Amino acid sequence: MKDQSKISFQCLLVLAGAVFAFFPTRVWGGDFQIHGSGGWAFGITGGKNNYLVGNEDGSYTNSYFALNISGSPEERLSVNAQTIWKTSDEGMETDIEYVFADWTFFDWLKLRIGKVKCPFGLYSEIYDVGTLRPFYTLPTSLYATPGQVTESYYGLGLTGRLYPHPNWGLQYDLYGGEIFFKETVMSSFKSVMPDPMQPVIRDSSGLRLIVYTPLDGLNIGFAEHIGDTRILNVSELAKPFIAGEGWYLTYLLSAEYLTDRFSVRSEYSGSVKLKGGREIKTYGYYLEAAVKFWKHWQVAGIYDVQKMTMPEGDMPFTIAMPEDHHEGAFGLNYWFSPNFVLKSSYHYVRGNLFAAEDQTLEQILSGYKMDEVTHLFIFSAQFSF
Amino acid sequence: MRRLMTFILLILAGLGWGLFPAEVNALDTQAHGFGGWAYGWTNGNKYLIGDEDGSYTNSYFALNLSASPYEKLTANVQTIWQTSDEGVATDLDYGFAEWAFTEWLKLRIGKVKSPFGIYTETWDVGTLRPFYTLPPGFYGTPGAIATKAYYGLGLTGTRDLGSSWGLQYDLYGGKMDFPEMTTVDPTTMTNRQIIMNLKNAAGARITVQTPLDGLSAGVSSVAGDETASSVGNQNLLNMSGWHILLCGSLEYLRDPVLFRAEYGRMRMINGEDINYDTFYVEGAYKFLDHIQAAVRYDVKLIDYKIQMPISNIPDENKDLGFGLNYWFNPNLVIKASYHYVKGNVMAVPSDMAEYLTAMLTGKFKDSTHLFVFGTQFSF
Repeated sequence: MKDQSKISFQCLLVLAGAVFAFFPTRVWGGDFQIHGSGGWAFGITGGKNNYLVGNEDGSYTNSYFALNISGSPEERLSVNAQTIWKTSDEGMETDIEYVFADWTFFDWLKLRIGKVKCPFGLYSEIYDVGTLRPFYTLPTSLYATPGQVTESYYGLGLTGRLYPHPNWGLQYDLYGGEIFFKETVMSSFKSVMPDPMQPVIRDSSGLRLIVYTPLDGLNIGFAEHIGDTRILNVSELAKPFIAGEGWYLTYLLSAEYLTDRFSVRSEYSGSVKLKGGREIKTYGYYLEAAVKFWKHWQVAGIYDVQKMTMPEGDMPFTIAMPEDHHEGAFGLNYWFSPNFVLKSSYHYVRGNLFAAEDQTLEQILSGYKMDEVTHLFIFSAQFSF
Repeated sequence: MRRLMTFILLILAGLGWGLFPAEVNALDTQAHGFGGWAYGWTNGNKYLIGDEDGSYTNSYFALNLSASPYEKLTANVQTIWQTSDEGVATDLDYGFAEWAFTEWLKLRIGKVKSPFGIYTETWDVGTLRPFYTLPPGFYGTPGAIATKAYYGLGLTGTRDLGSSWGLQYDLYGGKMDFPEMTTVDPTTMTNRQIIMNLKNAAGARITVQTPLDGLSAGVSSVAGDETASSVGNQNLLNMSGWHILLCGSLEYLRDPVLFRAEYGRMRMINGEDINYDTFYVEGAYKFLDHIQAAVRYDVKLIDYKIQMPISNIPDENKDLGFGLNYWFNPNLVIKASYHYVKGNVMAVPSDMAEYLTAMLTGKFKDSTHLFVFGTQFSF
């Protein structure tokens, strides 16, 4: 499989090199744009579990700002970069979300190289743009950590759009490189293993296809990536429990219907182990719908599930690992404008895969039972320009 | 109180939504920046940006962006990069959305500029003040009673009262994190970083512009549930419960004269733990077009009303500073200043072992001389 991945890399490089030679460029007047998206949220669970932006006492310190800069120094060249500043009860963090060059051969053939926006999932390319979704947070099953989707990959890829028929369109992405996921601290083991682990997929290659249908606003998609999953920064204490390394195929199906009034999105993602390591079986899906009324108001609902099955045996001792996440949520939003929204939502969560208490080592070893049900209330604002 | 505050803000916001429709605006994005560098030298103690060997690595740059994608909407963001002998730090100073219902009623939500005192909203803009550093008693750690931003939402606005009188008000609620400070953990006798915060806080500020051009006076107050968190979540200062911060300020700005004075205090509402009192008076005068002379007297007093783990904790800081500045233009200035400091709340030994010994014995070097040479710019 590693060889297969290398071959796909080489193919991309050769293809890119060949095409560069055929399409000379000319100097362009230049175009420089700045955009930003940000938000703030107050979250309270009222119980012992922490979940997303909420905790028992109420958390005020959730805020972020993503600065997006793009420049087009030449006609065919576009350079894109996005950095983020994020605050939470854990402190402040900053990151380069992506930075890549985009060379347009045609509308149907563009080369992207660098730390590139990951074409996997409906939200992966608009992760931080809160004004493009009905809830403050993204669907937990696919987008929270540990999740299935991340914002970018390091490497290169091809992307483009084709319109074989006036009412039908096809967007494709083909890429290879290394995929870094957000650093993960298992929420229930935070006090025992405070150092974040870093899941990474090495030698990965991926594909995404999105079909635009004649029904305006409706598209369906398929995405997959194959690679060698590793967990980095694992502490000695955690090493015996690490599973999920090895070669995996991760796939995703998506459907989206967006009009001025309605938004419906659904995604299903799962993974299949191909070789190596102790297998973690994972799948997740969600259905999210929202409708606008009275011009400014929007109601939204989401049902979100993730199931993670840990391997049995070979453990130094048995600990109860949370495996399920079921969430139903309702939201009520007020849109001042398409660039500024106030959001409130209530989330009912069953399972401790994401909604969990910070346990002590004694609690973990003694099989301490966390509250299975979590109630989360969020009041927030998000903006973009 | 918190619920009442939130309720009132929501009602007001709700009323405003229906009354003030918005229009699409061409995207107007503005970028500004504020930066500076300074060399600081003292005769012994470490104080503000100076130490005994001379510190060259004090620099900062704050990038400020504002955009108005809709007529009534403005997004405001400021990030900062700071270098010091401790390394590089970056932070999101603030990031919030502002919806202007009218000039006298604007909603702000997010990590919002803190309306408390004179300098909180221009913290990093060195070209708006006569000294490189802000008045340490009010804005410096430990014991800062002002901070750059709060997390939450608020209302702000200005009102022309006629006869050259004007009023600016702020009303807000949320959480405030104060600048990180260092204290000694008596259990391990090591340095510990502590963040003081006010949770479930509600605050207000009123500033009055008088008919005397350039003269304004203000009062600010914020109350909230105070905690001091650190690694391990130990409350090393034994501070918790409801506290109130008060501030009175006076400002006169009219070329060539600058005058500012503030008094601030912090008290526990139901009981006593640690009382903070601080004030400063700052004056400056410009002459020969480019040169400015400045003077500042700054005092911070801490009154420990509870038993502290160490008995010799310093409780005062008095700083008398003289400055001489050269303004190339309003956006670039070179500043030199000398500060005579008495007390050891903020002026402490650089060496950790020396610091701990001084804390145990109470034998600090009481007087500190600080010399600062630096530049600040803005665009």
